[in-house]
Amino acid sequence: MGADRQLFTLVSILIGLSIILSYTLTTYTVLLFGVNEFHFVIRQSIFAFLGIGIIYTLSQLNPDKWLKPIGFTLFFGSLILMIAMPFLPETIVSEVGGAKRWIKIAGFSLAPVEFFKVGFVYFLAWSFSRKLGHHDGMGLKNEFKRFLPYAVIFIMAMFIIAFLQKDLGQVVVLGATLLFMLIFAGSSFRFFLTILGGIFSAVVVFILTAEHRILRIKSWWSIAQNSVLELLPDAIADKLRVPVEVEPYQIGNSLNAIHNGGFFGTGLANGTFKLGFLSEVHTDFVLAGLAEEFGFVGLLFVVVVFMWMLQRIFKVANRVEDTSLYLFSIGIGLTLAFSFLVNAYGISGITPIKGISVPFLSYGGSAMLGASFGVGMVLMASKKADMS
Amino acid sequence: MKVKFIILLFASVWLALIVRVFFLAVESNIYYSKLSIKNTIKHEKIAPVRGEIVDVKNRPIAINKLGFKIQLAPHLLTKKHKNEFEEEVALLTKLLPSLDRKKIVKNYRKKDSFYNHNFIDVVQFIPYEEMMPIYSILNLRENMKIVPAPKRYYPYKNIAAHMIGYVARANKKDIDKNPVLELIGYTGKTGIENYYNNYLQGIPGEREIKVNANNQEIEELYYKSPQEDTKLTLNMDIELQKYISALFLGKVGAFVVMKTDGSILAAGSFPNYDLNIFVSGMSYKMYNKLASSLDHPFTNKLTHGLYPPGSSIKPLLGLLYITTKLSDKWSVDCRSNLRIANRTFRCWKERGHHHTDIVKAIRESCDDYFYKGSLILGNQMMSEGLKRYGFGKKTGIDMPNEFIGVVPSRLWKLRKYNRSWNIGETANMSIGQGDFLVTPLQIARETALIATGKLITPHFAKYIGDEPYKIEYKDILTPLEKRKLPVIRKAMIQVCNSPHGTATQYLHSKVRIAGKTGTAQVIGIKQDIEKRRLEHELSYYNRSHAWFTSYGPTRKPQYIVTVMIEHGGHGGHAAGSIVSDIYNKLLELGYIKKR
Repeated sequence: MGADRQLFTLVSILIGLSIILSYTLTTYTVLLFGVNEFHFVIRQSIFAFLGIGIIYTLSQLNPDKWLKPIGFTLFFGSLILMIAMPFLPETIVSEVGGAKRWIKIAGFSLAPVEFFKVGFVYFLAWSFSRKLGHHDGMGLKNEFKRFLPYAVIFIMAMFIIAFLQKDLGQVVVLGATLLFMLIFAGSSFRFFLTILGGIFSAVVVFILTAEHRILRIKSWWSIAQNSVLELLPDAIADKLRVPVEVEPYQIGNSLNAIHNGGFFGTGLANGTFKLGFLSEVHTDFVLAGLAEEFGFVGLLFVVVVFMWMLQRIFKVANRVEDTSLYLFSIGIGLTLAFSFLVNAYGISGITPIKGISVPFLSYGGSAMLGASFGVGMVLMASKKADMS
Repeated sequence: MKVKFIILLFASVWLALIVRVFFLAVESNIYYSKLSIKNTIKHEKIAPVRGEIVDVKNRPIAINKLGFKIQLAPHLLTKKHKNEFEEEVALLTKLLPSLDRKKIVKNYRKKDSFYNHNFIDVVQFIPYEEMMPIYSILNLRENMKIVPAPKRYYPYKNIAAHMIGYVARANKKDIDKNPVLELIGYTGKTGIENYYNNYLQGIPGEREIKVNANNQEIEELYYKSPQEDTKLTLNMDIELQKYISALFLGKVGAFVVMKTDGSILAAGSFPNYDLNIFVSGMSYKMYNKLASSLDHPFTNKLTHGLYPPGSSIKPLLGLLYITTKLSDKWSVDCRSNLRIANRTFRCWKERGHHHTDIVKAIRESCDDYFYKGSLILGNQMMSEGLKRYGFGKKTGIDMPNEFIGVVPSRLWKLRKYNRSWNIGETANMSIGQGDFLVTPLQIARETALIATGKLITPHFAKYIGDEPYKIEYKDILTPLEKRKLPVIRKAMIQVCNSPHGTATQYLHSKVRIAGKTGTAQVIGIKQDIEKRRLEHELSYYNRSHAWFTSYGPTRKPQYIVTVMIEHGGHGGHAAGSIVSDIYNKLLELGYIKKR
């Protein structure tokens, strides 16, 4: 059986779209820095070809022979890099706002965390398939016991990513992936809900212990409140309402951009809010920029393509016989889905914004190559699945 | 089941996203119409000019100097515009040589981002006279904006610095508390400037203008001028203040001169600093030097300095003694050494005072009398009485966050140290030592209580705008206490006038005054050692704090003068001369008519 053609095509469409976006959304940045008009397009094209190359090459390999070495290389390689990064000289590691996220290799900056995500998912899949199995009513306590080693590994990784790299968005995505993979690996629902409850209360405590986090939640709520409070009776709504203070700069601009786009969009290259109002419009706010120029229709198109892609990935998972392949495919599908959702929920003002890029669409090499490894490996696995 | 549930969860999450975006993009036309109104009608707030502070004779203490700030266009640091930026900075430093190039670049970098489209403040203040000759040159430059900006100015610099306080740029915390500051930009940080900030800052004005597509003003729709005639008149006499500050030269401490109704004529804390330095921000080096000084120049010692009161507490404690368990005939035989719970408590006088009653005990500051009295009253009665007189509580002065001090008691010690009270502490407390802590302002207020029989509220403000400050008294003394006050007053008069008074020999006041000296120990000196150590034998930071609190003239008390000198040694010796000079100056300035 060959690799899944549909999945390959869908990812290629998203990657192709990202090249267009890297041209139209970078107008302001290009003018500001006075760089070449095609500066970002050329780079993004290189990433795109590399990405597609990786996906294609991986899809041709034999999963029984190659999946394990590649998975472990990604996991341990990027983990070692992330641990070493705080100690590497500044000429190799670039620091932005106190966070050391990128390593310079041959003129390009790479973020190891993007590759770590794929490696982490593989590691979990491999390990769960050997150790976890169905819970068979073993009781909550025993389930916690067998989960403990993973919690330790996760907390270690979280420490590196959240505190040394200050990248909370990635932690959210990784945590959500881990949690859902547990279910698919055979944990009980009760266990899942207990952990979910634990995380939820930890987050609440985390927020309530710092003034600036409460403020951030408040400023997000001042934007989001109207659509929610309309549904509630007045007496309750009035209690929950907070005054709209200075509109948070990024959310305000992102909502305006989406609104400005309307149903059909302003048309390619005609956006207004990309011109110096939406910060990071070609990376973290790419969906807002897309919604402005291609409208609701454009965004809907991307969502449909993305969901179709996810559906293919989950189908691969469903059809492979090997548990580790099954769990790995699900994990990759989940990371992609959560990345997209965390970003899209942020820019549409449903949740507070977390800096995380959209898989395949955002400008940037590391995320593109990392995600390509993930999908490429799923394609490799798909050769063992009957996709008909 | 599990899988179905997850699929359902997943689907609803995605659906929510699509619905939300649909609403944002298509349905919410309200947002858009609001936006268009926002675009045609511009709502602007007009910052008020801060009110001025003047002294009792209308001399300006805090005023606003007219000047300008300089702003530069954003995004000039990119490769393309780098030359323009250098050109502007070079022009500025050429025309205004006092400017620091590094500071301009630093200010600019701090605020410049790709997504900031507003002009950036690079120079906070250029005085009017300096700006005038070059205004026409700078005003023509496209990348530069010259904006009028008033700046707080304190013409008397370091005189009464702690009392007046200063304004400085409002930080995020200030703005959270008081949103108007976002517009005004600076706020009163300490002293009177802080306490009356909400009044002094005024109320912003507003205006609404119609603009065309190019953001140019077409017409004014509405105008409300800011409310800014917010003047504050103080009871302070800045000339008197200046005179007294000179007396404190080289000394560390605090003083207050106030009327018996609580109006403060002069008050100070030393060492002090030039207020104007804070308005424009001081260098780290200077700040660190001031902040780490052992003389604590940043502390307002009048309201925030906590000291043991020493013997200055005796008149009030004496009043408590003779109105509770003791009569004013009660006396002791002071032999200088008293043993309480295996510790020796010594009176300051080596040979002892022998037969001592209340008047003599205050006049000659006999410790033995107060030790023995305290054992009869007990700690609870003492601490309750002192609290009723106003210790351990705020005085109510119009200054921010005054300290309340400590009146130690059995319960207090249990709560704070989880240790039981011992009787030696009661004795120690009776001479104003141990854990008993007060601010100089509290001592002044208690002196007023003895002089007038009323508990006053010390205050700086005389008029807030046209509104006179409401003077308040508290009647806290019992009828018995009021009847016995003359006994205490007599003793305090003798302190300053009788040949045996502890202060008499140090005074040269032309006004007849009454008072009490105090020498508050900083370190515990072992009571058992054979040789008594003299103050000048101790190193500076181990020397006692010197107190002198007084009222005058004695016939009809008009003024309270309280002086505290850190490590000054003996109260009368260190502060007597200053107190005399203050009364003589009050006489000279006509504040006191009858001696």
